[in-house]
Amino acid sequence: MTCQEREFELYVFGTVEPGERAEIDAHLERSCETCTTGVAKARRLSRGLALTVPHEDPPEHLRSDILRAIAQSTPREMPFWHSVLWRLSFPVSVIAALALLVICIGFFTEVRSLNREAETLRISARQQRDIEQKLLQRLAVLQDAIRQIPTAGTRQAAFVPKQPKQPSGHVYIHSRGLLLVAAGMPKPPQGRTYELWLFAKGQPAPIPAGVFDPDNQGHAMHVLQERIAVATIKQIAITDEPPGGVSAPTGKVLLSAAVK
Amino acid sequence: MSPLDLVFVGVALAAAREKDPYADAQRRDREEMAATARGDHRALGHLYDRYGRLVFSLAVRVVEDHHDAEEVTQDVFLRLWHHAAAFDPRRGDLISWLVAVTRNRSIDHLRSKVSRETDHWVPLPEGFEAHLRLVSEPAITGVEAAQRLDRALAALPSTHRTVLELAYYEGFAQSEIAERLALPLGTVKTWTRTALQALREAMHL
Repeated sequence: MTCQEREFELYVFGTVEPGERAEIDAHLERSCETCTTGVAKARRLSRGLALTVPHEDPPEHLRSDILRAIAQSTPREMPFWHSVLWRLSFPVSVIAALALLVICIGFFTEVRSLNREAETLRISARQQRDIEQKLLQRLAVLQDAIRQIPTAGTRQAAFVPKQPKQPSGHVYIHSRGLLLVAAGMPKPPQGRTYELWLFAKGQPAPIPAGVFDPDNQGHAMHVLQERIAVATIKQIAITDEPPGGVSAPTGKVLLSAAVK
Repeated sequence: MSPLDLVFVGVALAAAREKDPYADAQRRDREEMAATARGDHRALGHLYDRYGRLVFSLAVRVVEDHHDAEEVTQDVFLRLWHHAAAFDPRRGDLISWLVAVTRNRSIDHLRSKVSRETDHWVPLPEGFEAHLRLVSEPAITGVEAAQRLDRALAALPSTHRTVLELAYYEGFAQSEIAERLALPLGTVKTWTRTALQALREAMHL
């Protein structure tokens, strides 16, 4: 069948045989002039036929029914850019959610890190307070020991250097304890510490009076807070001993002096 | 009075007031479709006021039931609402689209109601772009041409008019018409060709 022989009206009516429909579609696709014109004319005929139908008045309510249905209908066909935004909304939401998740993870990680740092600072502050407390206690002990020096009954022993660079110092002994103040003290041998000894009348063995170490400048200050029978003490001595001290001297005597 | 008469009267009255009534009708279509595309319910109401009677009349003619025709009319205007943004007045007129969609919806409705199964009826696409690609001429080509078409229909032998109406209003293929009327397929084809030729001549196509 040639293009001129086709019944394009049947194509427009939707009643053409399937094979012929496919042929017309193919011709229209490649802009066949005869078929394009034929279909356009057939559409005019179809439109004209519609205008010949008997007149029927629609019911009064139909207009409002349609407008109500439109108001309640699903969202209308969106403009292109709306459609694009709508289609992008899901991936953008996913990306935003992931970004939020990453930010939250980062935030909580940072919070945990800050918590750990705060805990470290709290521990450090507590340690500082402990050190301060110990220093204050030691200061109080020293002040108490110093206050005892001028009191009646306090006796002392003095280390007087006979040659330069020899240690010098004093030991003040009273009934509640003693105070040692020294300078020019050498460092004790490796793995040893200094221990102070008291020699009393009627006692064959010396009495341990505490251990101490000089600082880097060779200064030493040692306080013992124990009851001492001051009158019986006749001499003091300092030896180097194992760390923590011993009950009877074993090391070399560094200094010794008579108590006056 | 048929919708065609109403159109003629409307065009004649418009012609009395203005030099180019068809251009005026197209301008109104264009403005109201643009407003409808923007979501203006009132614009759709105006379109219904102008074309609702035509859509409803065609639907009644096909489905032969006023209640069903209401459903079809509502369906057509809902489609118009949802596809208004795709309307391009440079490529064709609104009334052609309304006629094609109303006919398609009506025949679909009819087929679903009577469970008529057929592979023959394949309506053309209803989207504005696909439809208007093939329509480049005014819907109203002149009062005289339309009147000639009406007269040509009346002048057709009843047998010829019957096969034409079965195809146009019910979507029957020629083989189905032959089976339905117990006629040879060749006879149906001849009557159809003769009837269409008479209508083409009446419209000077």
